Amino acid sequence: MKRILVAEDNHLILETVAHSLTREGYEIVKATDGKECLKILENEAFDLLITDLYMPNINGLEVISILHDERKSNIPILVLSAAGAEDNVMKAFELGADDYMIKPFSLNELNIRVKKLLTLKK
Amino acid sequence: MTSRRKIPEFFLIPLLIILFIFTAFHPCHAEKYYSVQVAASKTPIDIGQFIKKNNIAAEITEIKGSDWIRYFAGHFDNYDSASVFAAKLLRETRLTNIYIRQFDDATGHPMQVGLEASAKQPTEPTPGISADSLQLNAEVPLQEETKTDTQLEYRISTGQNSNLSQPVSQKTGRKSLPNQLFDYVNYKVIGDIQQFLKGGGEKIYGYPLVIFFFLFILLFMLNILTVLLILTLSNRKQNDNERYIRVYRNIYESALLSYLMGETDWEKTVEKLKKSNQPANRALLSSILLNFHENLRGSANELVPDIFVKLGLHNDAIQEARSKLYFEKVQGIRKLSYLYPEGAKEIVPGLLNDPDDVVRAEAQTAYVRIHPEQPFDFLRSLQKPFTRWTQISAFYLFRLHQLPVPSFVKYLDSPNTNVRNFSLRMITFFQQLENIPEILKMLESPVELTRSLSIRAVNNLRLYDGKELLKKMYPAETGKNKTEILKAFQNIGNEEDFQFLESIILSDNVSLKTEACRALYFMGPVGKEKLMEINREMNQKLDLYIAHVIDQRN
Repeated sequence: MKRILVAEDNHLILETVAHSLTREGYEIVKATDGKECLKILENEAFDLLITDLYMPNINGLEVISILHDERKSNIPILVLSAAGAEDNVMKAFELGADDYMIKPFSLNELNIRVKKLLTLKK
Repeated sequence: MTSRRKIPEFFLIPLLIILFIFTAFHPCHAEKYYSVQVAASKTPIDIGQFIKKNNIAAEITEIKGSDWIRYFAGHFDNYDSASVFAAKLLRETRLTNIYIRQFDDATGHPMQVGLEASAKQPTEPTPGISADSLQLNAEVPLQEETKTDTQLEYRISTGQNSNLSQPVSQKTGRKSLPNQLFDYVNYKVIGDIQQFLKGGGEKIYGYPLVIFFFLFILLFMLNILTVLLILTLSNRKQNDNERYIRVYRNIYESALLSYLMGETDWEKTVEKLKKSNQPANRALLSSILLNFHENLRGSANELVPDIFVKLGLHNDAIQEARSKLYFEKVQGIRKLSYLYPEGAKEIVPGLLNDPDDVVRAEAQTAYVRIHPEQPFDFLRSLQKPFTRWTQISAFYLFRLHQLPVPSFVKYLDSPNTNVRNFSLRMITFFQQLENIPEILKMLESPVELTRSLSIRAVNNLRLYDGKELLKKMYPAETGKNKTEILKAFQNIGNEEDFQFLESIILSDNVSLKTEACRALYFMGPVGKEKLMEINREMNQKLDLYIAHVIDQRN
């Protein structure tokens, strides 16, 4: 079973994404901020990271930067954020994100993108 | 109040310590002493001057009463000593009317009227003066060294504390009502209060001071305890509220999520939504649904407005939008515009001109949301200001939802200046050339900002028809608008405008000269050549300007 880590400070969105992906057959682990996300990633392996950009403590961009630059991790990263400005999107891709979805988002679209990223990772 | 000659400061601290020990552990009781009153006045007198003038070789103490300030000399344990001193003062100084006063040692207050020692004394000095040899005079005018209110005569009442005696007017006839009221408040009411406080003060001073320190400490501790109690209780209540909200939020979110995902039907969902008739729970449900709607799209999101109506939350939102409180109105407008647009369409138009800025801004952005076909139609009926922040929000919403662009030219005839300015900005941004004469009419606006935006529109839209108008309005324009006009000529100018630009280059204003040079330089090869020609005629005085204009950093 594929393991996905979801990092999101909005409790409702976190539960919604987790619920939707669990129905698709994935194992979901939740984190509410960037610091918790990095801590979990230190100890456990995941097949995909879904992260928001603006979170307390450490934000999503820093998480991506740390994973790629310091830890040299190759975990696929999908950014799910309300920050739809081109600058944010470009920055996330430059730092190492593999996909970017802007809120409001469709759950069906999210499921398809997750499936695609996991397939590419294989 | 007592004021003494200044005591050296290094004596003060030990004195205070000794005083504290003495008063804290020594029960106070009424002691008396005698002092000789040498002067009285309604205004403070210069003691040094008084001593010098009357040749007094004694220390003077000042005591302020309710109405009079009295000056005393000497401090004696018994009447006889005081009277000897008084007689000495009468002999050796220029004082003529003096009183002997008895004081309460603890309070420092006079206890009874002093007996007058007057100038009518035996001229032969006697070793001691007894009380019998001194005249008793109950009605003696006080010695006054400074000019006082001559209309008042002070009358001493015997056996009473003279501080509380009231002056009466010397003149016959009734006082005016305000004066009577003043006298009543000043002397009767305040006097009674002083009596009461003095009585209380005398009782208090009957006990050791340390008891009052303990009482104060106790009172202070009680105060702290009360504050701590209130803080603890309110924190506890707040924690309980937060826990309550957290618990119900989890219940409602999971119930609604299951319904949105199609895992349960509506009846089962309603069963899980416990206590949904409570106001706090209803507010929680509204916020959860709003959160869903803001973050989700697609099939899941389509059910959210239905849930909002099924639970009757749209009625709550309508009630909020009709509230007198501005923050409730704003919440109501938001909920309606997102989750119940039909209700919003009825209420929002009435709030577009609300006196409150925040409500108006929310209503205006809600209008854009609920009228995608004509998002800016509210500009026609707008009477209140259309703030910059609302303009930006409305524009952002408009772009976010990729709404069809209306023709903003139709709003240029609005009486509202903000609307006209916003329309000009939108016309420029969206490059709308439907009605050029209407745009050019804005060049004649009495409002500077409107004219400035119109000049920018002429520039950005390349409205060559506006060139002559720009030249005509140039001399009377502000510096900022003149600069905008010259920038426009960079794009719409040609050889016909050389004379106009040359006249500006030959003027003294540096920034306008620079802009004119820039306009000529970037007008094309012909403009560049003309600029070089002018430079040669001016003996290369424009070299710096040209260098500045060419520099890409500028």
